[in-house]
Amino acid sequence: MWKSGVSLTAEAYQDYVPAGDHFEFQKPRIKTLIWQWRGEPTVIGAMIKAGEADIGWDIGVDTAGSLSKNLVRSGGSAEIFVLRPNALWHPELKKKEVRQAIVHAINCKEIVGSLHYGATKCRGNIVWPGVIGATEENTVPYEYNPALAKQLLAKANYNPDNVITITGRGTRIPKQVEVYESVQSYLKAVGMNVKVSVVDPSVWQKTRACGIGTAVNDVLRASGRDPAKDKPTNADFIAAKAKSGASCVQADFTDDAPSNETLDFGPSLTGT
Amino acid sequence: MTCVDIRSTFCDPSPGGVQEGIAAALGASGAERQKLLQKYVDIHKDEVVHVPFFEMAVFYAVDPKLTFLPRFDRRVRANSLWFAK
Repeated sequence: MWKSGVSLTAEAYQDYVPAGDHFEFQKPRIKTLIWQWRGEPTVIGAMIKAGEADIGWDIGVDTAGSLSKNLVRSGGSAEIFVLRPNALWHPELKKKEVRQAIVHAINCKEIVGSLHYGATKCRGNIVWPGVIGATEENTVPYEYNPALAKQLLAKANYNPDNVITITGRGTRIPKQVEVYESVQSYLKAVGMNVKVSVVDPSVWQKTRACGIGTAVNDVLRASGRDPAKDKPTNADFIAAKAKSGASCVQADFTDDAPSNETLDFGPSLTGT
Repeated sequence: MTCVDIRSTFCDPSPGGVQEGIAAALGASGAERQKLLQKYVDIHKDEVVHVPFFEMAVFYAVDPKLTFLPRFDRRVRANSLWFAK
């Protein structure tokens, strides 16, 4: 039974056929389950504490810290939080050495320790060992080395007049704005000029869809071809990359969360 | 990393470059797939196609009497919950 905006009551299906012996595929043992929606993590935490509810989902790091340890469970997800640089058209971010400087300038462990109470693990790629294509070497976290970052920036002839703006959502992960501000601070420490712009998810969605594929479609249309029917050639890719951007609002640097649910790098190869 | 996806902010259409070998890597299976995809994960790291940070942690508030193990996909499944007797 669904009460719009209030709750959803689910009754156990008694004719459910168990599959194998895995505990997740067995008949439900709880006969009636009521899902309730609460917007504030502090309210959810208080309900568990008071015995008004039995489980609260995604309560955030601050609420978790306010509850006694026996009331909190934490788990990972298949996603990795990332910032996606515009390696196509931004005058600085299209330089490989600048991108490499950025990863060596950021102290991820310190961010996790101070903002997320050490509850998660830094990663050096969007996949981790166990995913097809991943190895220990290509997933090890980048070394925090500000001196190396400065060397790489000098090698790249980095120009701080070319501002890099982080355009991202504010609430996809716990303390997301603080994470952006930390990144800004680390990059400033090695001489980079970085700004932060927190935007509505609808704006983020538009910037996210403003990559090379959109520019390739622009090239196809400009030459009288139909992106829905005509397959782009390598010359079209080169032409799109040579443009100053696509016909949409692009970001210099934006947040994302590539998923590893398929345990295979293939989807990341084509979808990011 | 593809030049086709509307979200991609990295594209290497050079001869012998990233774009050229994507179809072969995606069509491979078994040890060959591991080998070909590994090459792309290596490039992804070297080129810093994304700036990676951390696995996204999810926190749950749970009655100690309730049996619940967090899942990889952060969903809560009804048939994986039960109360201790």
